[in-house]
Amino acid sequence: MSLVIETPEDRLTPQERAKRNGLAQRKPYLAQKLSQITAREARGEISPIIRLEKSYLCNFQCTHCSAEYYMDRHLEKVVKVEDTRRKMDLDDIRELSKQADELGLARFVITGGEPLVMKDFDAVVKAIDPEKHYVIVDTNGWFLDDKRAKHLKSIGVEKVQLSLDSMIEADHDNFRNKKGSYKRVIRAVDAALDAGLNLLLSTVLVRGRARKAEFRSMCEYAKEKGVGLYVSYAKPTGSCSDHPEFVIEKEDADILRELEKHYPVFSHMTPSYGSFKGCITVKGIITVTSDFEVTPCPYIDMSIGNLWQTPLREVLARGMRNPWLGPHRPDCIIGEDPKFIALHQAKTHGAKFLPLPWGEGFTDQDSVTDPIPQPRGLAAIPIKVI
Amino acid sequence: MNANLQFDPQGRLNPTGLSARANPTSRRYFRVNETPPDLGSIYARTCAYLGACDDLSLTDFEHKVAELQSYLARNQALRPLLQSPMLPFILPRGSIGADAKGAMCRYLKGVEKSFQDSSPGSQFTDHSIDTWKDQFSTNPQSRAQLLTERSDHTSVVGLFMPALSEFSIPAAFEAIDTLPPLLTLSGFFEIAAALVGTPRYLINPDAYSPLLWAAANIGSDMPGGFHFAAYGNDMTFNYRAHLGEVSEYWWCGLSVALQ
Repeated sequence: MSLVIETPEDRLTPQERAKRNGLAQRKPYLAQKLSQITAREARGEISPIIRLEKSYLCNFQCTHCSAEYYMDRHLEKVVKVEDTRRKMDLDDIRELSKQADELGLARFVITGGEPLVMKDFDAVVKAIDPEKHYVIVDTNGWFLDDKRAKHLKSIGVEKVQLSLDSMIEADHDNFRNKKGSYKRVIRAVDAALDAGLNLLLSTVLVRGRARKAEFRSMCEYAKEKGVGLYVSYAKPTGSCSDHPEFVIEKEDADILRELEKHYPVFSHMTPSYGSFKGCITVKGIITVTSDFEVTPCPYIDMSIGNLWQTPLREVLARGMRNPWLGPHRPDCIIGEDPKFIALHQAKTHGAKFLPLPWGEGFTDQDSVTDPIPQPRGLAAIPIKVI
Repeated sequence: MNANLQFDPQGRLNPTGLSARANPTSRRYFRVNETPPDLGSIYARTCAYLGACDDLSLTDFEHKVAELQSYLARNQALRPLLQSPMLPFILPRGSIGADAKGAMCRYLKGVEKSFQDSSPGSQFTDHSIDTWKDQFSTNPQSRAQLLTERSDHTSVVGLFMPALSEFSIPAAFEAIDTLPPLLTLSGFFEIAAALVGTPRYLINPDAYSPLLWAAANIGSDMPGGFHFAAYGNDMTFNYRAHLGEVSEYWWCGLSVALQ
């Protein structure tokens, strides 16, 4: 018996349908690939978005940054080492784009660091090939004025994801450790919309925030602007490692699920057009770090393979075989599962360079029922495990 | 019963010896709402949402549930099943019949009404579409048709037990072949009836609850199947690929009913 596939177009809003039709006229090959994602997922195939971290340079130093431990400024000042590992170049990106296209993958997010400080940003977009891949830029918005937004559109970028951490100006600026950042991101919202870019706001949900009026006002703002508000759960990694109190509880996630009924707000766990993916590790997203390691999620500092050593196809298959990453589950493993959080902390604590290579973090012998190893060189971290 | 297959003290079947995929042990991360079932409420909801049980009184229902529990208690190998978070259910006489798709829609409506009446403000959403429902059938290997066919003549009282947690669908079918004939692999109607009676079974504010596969309705050549799952405070019914894979989140169940 063959699996009958639903036609997602039946469930699209008129605005979304118009966007897809527009893309089909401008970039037919890409639109065709994107239109097949639902059918592929229904067959159990995966179609992850590729987050590309070519550079970690950033003009911000945010309280919750997941990439801070990858940055030269952290390695030099805190770890006191120089990162001499090989870094990806434009040829590597072209090869990654080719392999991804052969697998039917269709979406790249350029992130970092702050992508708009990269001197070779335009060359990176070209190397990805925006005719073959839907290109998204994940930015703090500081440099995104009208001129830059129009330029992004002209070189093939389709979508901008802007970080907004509070509707209270002082709180946003404090969280981002950058005075003036709130004003800049609000300016960037209008610049992106005026340039015809698709826009997504992103914000970090820390414990208790979902209940606050401020969060509700951000949901209202997104609704008023007609843009989606992507909510990322705070994870105990990167700069947030020192803030375990940020990690959400199931109640926070459940409040967010209630808000989804009234606002254009969603998390990576939110079903899309009736498709319940749950945790998107490998299935819905991978991150390629500057040293060409592939991590299964932006917040998990353990690699499932290095693309200089292993083809993308095998790296993805390896990830899907892993009992933490491959199976369908409704919660965020690095944001909610106490055992995985403890395991991740134990394995990555004290590591000089992140992510941990394949074999040091994840392995083919992993089991969700194995005991958590002792953290390297330290007494056991007090961890609450279910 | 295959001597190699045993239930653990919590009523989960130990999959040692099966060739298909199942997690050898469970860390019990996903948990249903274990509020003890209330037989009076189950009976009343079933009558209200699935049709009158004109051949079964509440007292009859209570006696039959006690009989089933006694049967499990008398059988040493099956006794651990009493520790599983079981749900008594009723398939009212004549509630299924020959039109499986029509019965499916009526049972789904029953789940929806029971859930919404017990959880004001929450939603039950059926994401599955007609073309999938058109393919609905029962896999004879599951033995589930023994219960649904019996319900043509008499109201069937049974227990739903999620004893095959973290089993792939092929492993669930492999397991049922080795279990006593009175145990059947749970399908859509038993699970739906159980959720009509105990509508908040999958709503657990303290932990994520599992996805329940209607495993008996998955043919050996079908890459996917129907399932119930919670989404926050809401309930959903949907169809997805299973591909023979195993997940901590995916549970199959056993049903038992008196002859």
